[in-house]
Amino acid sequence: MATIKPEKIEELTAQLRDGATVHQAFNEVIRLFSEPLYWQIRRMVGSHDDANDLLQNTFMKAWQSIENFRGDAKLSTWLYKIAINESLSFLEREKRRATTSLDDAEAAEVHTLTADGELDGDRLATALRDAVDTLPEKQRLVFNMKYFDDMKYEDISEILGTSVGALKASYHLATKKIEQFFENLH
Amino acid sequence: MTNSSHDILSKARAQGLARPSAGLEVPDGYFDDFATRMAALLPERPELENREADTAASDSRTFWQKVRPYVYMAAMFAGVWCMLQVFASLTGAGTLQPLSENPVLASALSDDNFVLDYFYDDINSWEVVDEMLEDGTLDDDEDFAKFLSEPDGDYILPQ
Repeated sequence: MATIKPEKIEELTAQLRDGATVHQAFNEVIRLFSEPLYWQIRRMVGSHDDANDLLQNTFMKAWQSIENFRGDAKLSTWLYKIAINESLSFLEREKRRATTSLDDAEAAEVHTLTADGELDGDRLATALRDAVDTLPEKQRLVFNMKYFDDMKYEDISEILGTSVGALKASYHLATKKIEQFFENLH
Repeated sequence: MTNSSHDILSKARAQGLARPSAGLEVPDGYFDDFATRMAALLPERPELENREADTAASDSRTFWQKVRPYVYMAAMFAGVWCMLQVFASLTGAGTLQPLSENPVLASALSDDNFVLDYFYDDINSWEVVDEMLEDGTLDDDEDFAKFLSEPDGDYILPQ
């Protein structure tokens, strides 16, 4: 999750609730959270163009319902929830058109890359991304938040509304599936 | 968790790939420009700018508005209690019979299959896992992975 000082969040939260400062505070929210939210969305949907559209939708929806944000939940939790809902809705729409798992060309590329031995650097990053893409959506979310964003289970729990125990199980299963993915390459 | 899975993820972490942007690219300057472009897209909301700071809004309720839900709840419980008393006096029981003295229920509760089918199945598996985490039975990820890897542990895994 974004490493922004708690005092800054508190200040922004107060400013968002004041008509005189709401606009300026929201611009600051965009500046602070656009990058972490972008990567979260991008890791779910894959392409930059889709991630860009969904990030814009996220901030648009947040702005349109800013009066409903009363500071009970953390600002970051509220924004992540909107971003994740946007991503999942997008994936649901996409499912009707095509599967989100590896297509044959991508799978063949990974096999070629791994045929000559150890994976490293960019090749490992690509293979890992492909492995993560094969996970079911919720597991992918949990894995991305824990492994790539290094979030605490308690924070993920607040965002996804899932118990810490379930999140740990989900993360464990995700790592098992990634292991299986790499074993199948050999 | 097996070593190979642990190894590949550890290897990726050691190579600096356990970060949000690993293996992904964005156009140059994308994040520098995004905030400006996004701010320009936001519609005007004059109604927001006209509102006062609402920090004290939640405290402006009257005393009656604050206690009203509790008074209603107390009245509801009192009503239920009165109805039970009336029902008990009409049936001649005087007071309600403890469950253990009801022969039908006592027989059902002594049947393990009945208890398993109608009581334990209603327990959410995650509640059990959460309790184990809370009481320290599963106090770190390694323990948790070991617990899940046990042959009898499959029933709790989500799909």
